[in-house]
Amino acid sequence: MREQGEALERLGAVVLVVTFEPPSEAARFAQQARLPFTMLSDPDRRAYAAFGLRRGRWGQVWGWNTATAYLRGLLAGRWPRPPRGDLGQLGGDFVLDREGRLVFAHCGRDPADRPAVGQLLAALRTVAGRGD
Amino acid sequence: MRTIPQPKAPRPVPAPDVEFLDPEGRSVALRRWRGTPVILVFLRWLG
Repeated sequence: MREQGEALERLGAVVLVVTFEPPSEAARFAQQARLPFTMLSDPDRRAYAAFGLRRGRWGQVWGWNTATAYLRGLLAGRWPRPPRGDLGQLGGDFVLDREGRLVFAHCGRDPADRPAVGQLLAALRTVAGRGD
Repeated sequence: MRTIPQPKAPRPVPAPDVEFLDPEGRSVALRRWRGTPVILVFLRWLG
């Protein structure tokens, strides 16, 4: 997503990244990762719940998809950090139009289940095409 | 010849009206970004 900054700018979109960690941790992460997006916190996970994002079962969190995702990371030189925090909380990706309506929704079924950035951009383009 | 009716595309539904905390701990509502298309990414743990 970071590499699609120009495309996002052309589409006039903003990327909001949400964590359930407290604001201080969110700020630390955003600074260390040099995140070019707005970082927000949802420590009570009310927004997570409102968008249908739940905690995964053990088999969802530590399944085959997760193992292969970590393996790909290792092969790319990314060592996993020691686990801390709630490993069970699943993530998701959503696209909202200018009226605050959902035009794309993806609730992750396991930690590695995320939509391709192209899918998010395609959803944004439908919004731009409608002139919303 | 019978024409098979095509399903209409579902109408977008309003996103939940939620609030977050910014890095300074101040409350900020998602509706603050009305007027702008938004990609909303909910993360897993920050490890």
